[in-house]
This record gives sequence, structure tokens and C-alpha cells, in this order.
Amino acid sequence: MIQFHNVTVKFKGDILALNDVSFTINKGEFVFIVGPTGSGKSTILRLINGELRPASGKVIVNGITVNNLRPSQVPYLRRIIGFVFQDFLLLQDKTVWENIAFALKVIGASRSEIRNAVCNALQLVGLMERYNAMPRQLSGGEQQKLCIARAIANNPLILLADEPTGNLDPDSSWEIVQLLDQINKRGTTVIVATHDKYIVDGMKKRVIELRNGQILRDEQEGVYRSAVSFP
Amino acid sequence: MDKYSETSRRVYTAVLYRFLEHCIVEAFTSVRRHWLMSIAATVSSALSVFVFGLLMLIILYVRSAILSEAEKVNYMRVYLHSNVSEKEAKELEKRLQRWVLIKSVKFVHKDKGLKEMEAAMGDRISLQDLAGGNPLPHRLDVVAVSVEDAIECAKKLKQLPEVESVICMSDVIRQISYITRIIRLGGLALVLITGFAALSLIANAIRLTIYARREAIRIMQLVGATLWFIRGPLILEGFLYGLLGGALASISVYGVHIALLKLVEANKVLLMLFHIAVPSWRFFFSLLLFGLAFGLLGSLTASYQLVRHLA
Repeated sequence: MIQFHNVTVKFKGDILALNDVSFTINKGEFVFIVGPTGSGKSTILRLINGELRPASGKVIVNGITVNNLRPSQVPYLRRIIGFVFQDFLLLQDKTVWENIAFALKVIGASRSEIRNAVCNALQLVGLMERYNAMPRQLSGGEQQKLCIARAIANNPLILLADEPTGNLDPDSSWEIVQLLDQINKRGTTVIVATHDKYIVDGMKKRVIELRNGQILRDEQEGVYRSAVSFP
Repeated sequence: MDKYSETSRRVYTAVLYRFLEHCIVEAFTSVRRHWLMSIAATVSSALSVFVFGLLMLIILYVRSAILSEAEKVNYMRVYLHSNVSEKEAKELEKRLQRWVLIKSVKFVHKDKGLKEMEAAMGDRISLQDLAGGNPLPHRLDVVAVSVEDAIECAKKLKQLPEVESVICMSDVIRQISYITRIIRLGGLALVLITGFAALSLIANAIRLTIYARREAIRIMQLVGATLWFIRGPLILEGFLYGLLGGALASISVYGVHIALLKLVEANKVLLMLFHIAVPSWRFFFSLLLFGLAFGLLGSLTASYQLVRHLA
């Protein structure tokens, strides 16, 4: 599903964000990307959704070589990817329903498609009864659920989550990660970049740890801090 | 094949319909939700077009005043040789009417010329004093198409074998021609400068409204909206601000024109000094179009830059 072949990313001033990184994530996998701030976690997510291009190496997503995509083709790649943010990025002047519908409307979905997709997404995240609420009327956990509902409404093949529990208390964090697990069990590949030891250790999923733009470890059923990173 | 093309035509129509619906709904929603920003954008677009329109109005007044004077100096008297008969003079009149540089030609018989002279001179000359006959030749009264053409026309007329002399106000023509050229060039430069300023103002106002919606734009980018789905409503918004601004500016410039007209008409001294040209409806309609064009161009540039910047 996702392949990184010797990927190097440089930012302005020759800052090395990723250095010769290679890994493969298969269809339907649930992967945590962990590591300290500035280690390159978000860079990996941004490479997958076409926001960044590698300086060298190759990024392949669902058979599409992201390096070769023209700017006009990037939106079509993003339609197979859902994105969840730490700060939710919700439209405060739109209701719960409208927030999800908006994301579908701007990719040209018809009214009936929007209606069905919004209903399904709200049911999955358990926000059906709050469809008419404004984002500011929701708790942090509910706002993140809304963000997830928006990300999955289009039935994406891949769900990327950048610090999805960064602004949440432990109970809400666990609820969110359970929801991501539920989405993963439906066949969606889920990649979560996180600092949250609690959820990584609790889920026992594949863990890719980054340090200074390089992969330190890649473990199945891994935990947040391993003997490799903290001997 | 037909079935396939019919299906693709339907899909295309449906997508186009959804795109247009999205643009209209989003643009109007944004105008309503960000009403303060919308008012600011409309007012700045109206102000820019108003200043532009006022300048155009002044140029129109000045040009019209100069041209009304120029009409008087476009006129020239072409005296023919004394041996040119009336028939030959009339043939020449017909020939000259086909000249591109000439607006009108009128044959004046030498007897009529003498009467005109007598009328002009008053008691100082009379037909009875000219016992030896009429010394004047036949003449043609010629009006050139424009001030610039008058000198050229006089030169060409002098080269004709039938023509003895051409009397025109060459110095005045030269000066008026020079002034009109200056006004045309200066006006063009001023129009370009104010046009550019108007465009920048509108682009900035629209840039602000886009900036207020940066989160929506970011979401649109991340969920896979195409560039046109993002830019469409923004461009339509600019179009609306331009249209409203252009309409407001048109009405205001018309108001200024009417006020000036009344002021000049009420004052006899001013009436003698100023020539107030009446602009046609096309002038005001073109201001509306300018507003529209500025709004469109402004939103195109602003949306292009900002969508790129937020990507």
C-alpha cells in the first residue's frame, strides 16, 4: 500500500528532515510512528499525502509514485487518504453535519452520496445525535471524533492521523484510538504519528521509531520506548 | 459509442452543475458570513472605480472642450486659380468629397464670396466700387476630419493644380494637435496608474477575505478538492465585489456629473468657461465593466497567490 525507498527530505537551509528512510506498510495495517519532536514523523505523513516531495528516493502510495505527480493530480491522490489533525481543523461556522458534508461537497459528491456518507460516518463515530451542534459545543474528544468522521466519510484507503490525541485527556485518547482501530478493522490502513505512550503501549501494533530523520526501529506489536531507543 | 458519449455527457453536466452550485452557494455564504469584510471589499472596489471614473470624466470634459474648439480650426478656405471655371470647381468639389482626410467640402461661387466679404467689411467696400468686375476666384470651404488631419490636408490641397492658396489656422492647429496628443497620452498614463492602483486595492481586499477563510481552504486542499473547486467561489466573490463596486461607482460618477452640470448651468460665467460634455450610457456601463474586470482580475491574482501560499 505504502512504500518508502531511500527517501531523503531536506528543508530550507539544508536541514535534513528524513535521511535515507525505507519501509513498507501493507494494506490494512495499523502503524504507529513515534519519536521525539523534529524526528520526521509529520514529514512522513506529509510525503504520503503529497504535501511534500522527497529530495531523493521514491514514495509510492497505492501504486502511485508521489514524486512524479503533477500539482493538478495531487487532489486525486488525497481522495484516497483521510487526514486527522491534532488541532481538529474544523469549520467553526458550520454544524457537525455541514463540516462532514463540506468535505464531500468540495470533491464533487452528489447530494444523495453526501447524505449517505455523512450518516454512515456519524454513526461510526457515535455523533449522530449531535449532528446539528456547532463545533464549539462539542468536547475535545467529540471534536476529534468529528475530525475522524470527516476523514473517513469518503471511504479512504488510508487514514493518516497526526498527533490525534495530543489535545485530549487519557480517557478520550483511548476512545479515539479505539475508534481508529475499529476503522482499521474495516480494512482501512491507519498510520498514527504520536507522542502518546499510553495508546502505543495499550494497542500493541506495529511501531516505527524515528530519531533525527532516520528509522531507529520497526517492530511488530511494539511499545513506545524500547530497549533500542533507551538502553 | 453513442450510449457511452451520452453517459459521459450526463456525468460532465452533473459535475459542472455541482461545481457551479458549489461556487454560487459558497460565494454567497461567504459574503453573508463575512459581511464586514465583504462591505470593505465592495467599498474599496467602488472607491477605486470611482476615482478611475472621475478621472475618465475629467479627461472626457477636457477632450470634448478641446475638440469643440478644434472643430472651428479644422475649417480651411481653398482659393482656386482665377482661370478655374465653375464647372471645374464643382468637379474638384466632388473629387475632394472622396478624400479620407476630409469631412466636408462646399463650393462657394466667387459672387457669393464677394457678398460675404462685403458683409464682413461693412461699409468699407461695396460692389459698386469694383467696376472692373469681381476680383475674387471661386473657393472651396473644406472641413478636415480631425485637427491632426487638417495640416496634412492643407499640404495636399496646395499641391493640386487648380488650387492657388489654402488658408488655415496652421499654428493653432499645431498647438491643438499637440495638446490633444498630450491629453491622450497623459490620460492613458493616468488611467493605467489609477487602474493598477484600483486592481491592487481590490486584490488586497479579496486577499483579506480569502485569508479569513484559510481554514476552509486548507481543509479543501487536504480532502482532495481540485484547484478550481477552491478558487471558483473565491473568483465569484471577487466578481460580486467588482460588480457591486462598479455599480456604486457608476452611480456616484453620474451623480458628480449631474451636480457639475447643474453648477455650470446655473452660473453664466462658468457656462462660458467650461464645456461640460454629456457622457453616454456606454461610459457608465464601461465603468461597471471596469469594476467587474478589476474584481475578477483581483480575485484571480489573490486566489492564485493565496491558494499557492496555503498549499
